[in-house]
Amino acid sequence: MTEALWAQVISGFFGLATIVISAYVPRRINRRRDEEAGDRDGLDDDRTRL
Amino acid sequence: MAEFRRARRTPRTLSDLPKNLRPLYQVTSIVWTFYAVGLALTTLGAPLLRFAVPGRIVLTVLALIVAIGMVLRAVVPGRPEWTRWTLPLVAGVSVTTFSLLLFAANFAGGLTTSRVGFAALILTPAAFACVHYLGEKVVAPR
Repeated sequence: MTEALWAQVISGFFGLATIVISAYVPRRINRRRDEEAGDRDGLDDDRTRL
Repeated sequence: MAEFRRARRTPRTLSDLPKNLRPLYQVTSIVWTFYAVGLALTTLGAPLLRFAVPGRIVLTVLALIVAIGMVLRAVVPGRPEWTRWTLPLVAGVSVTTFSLLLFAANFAGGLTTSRVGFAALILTPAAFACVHYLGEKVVAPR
């Protein structure tokens, strides 16, 4: 592969990692917080996101 | 099933929101639209990114998807939670563009002050994503 293609592949990997982390981590935190509060299905959470 | 019930419980329309939050949702939508359109124009037209022919087209399309989503969120009721997918997407586009700009600077002869500043400005949406992450974890505990 050429240098330009490698640059795009590596950059795309960084972008995909960012998407996965920013989409998954807050949900996991929310779920853990719900479980610690005894709220198993998350229905007690009335917070909204901006 | 739990996800469905959670979605049904959370506010789905602008009229479901507290009155003081409605304009905030619309203003944040407009701000994200500006960011997304700016990112799309940058990825499409920045001279440094000319080398990345398929990459910059993909990034432009993704940024425009975010822009359309945020315009819809601002004007159509029922989409206050669309930042749950637009925020990760715009953060990913921003990080990818940042990385591509660093490679481009390398290909074009090295980093200069303006290239560092330009790349740092492109990272702004990803910085917002970090702010949301910290907000989830620290600022808005239940």
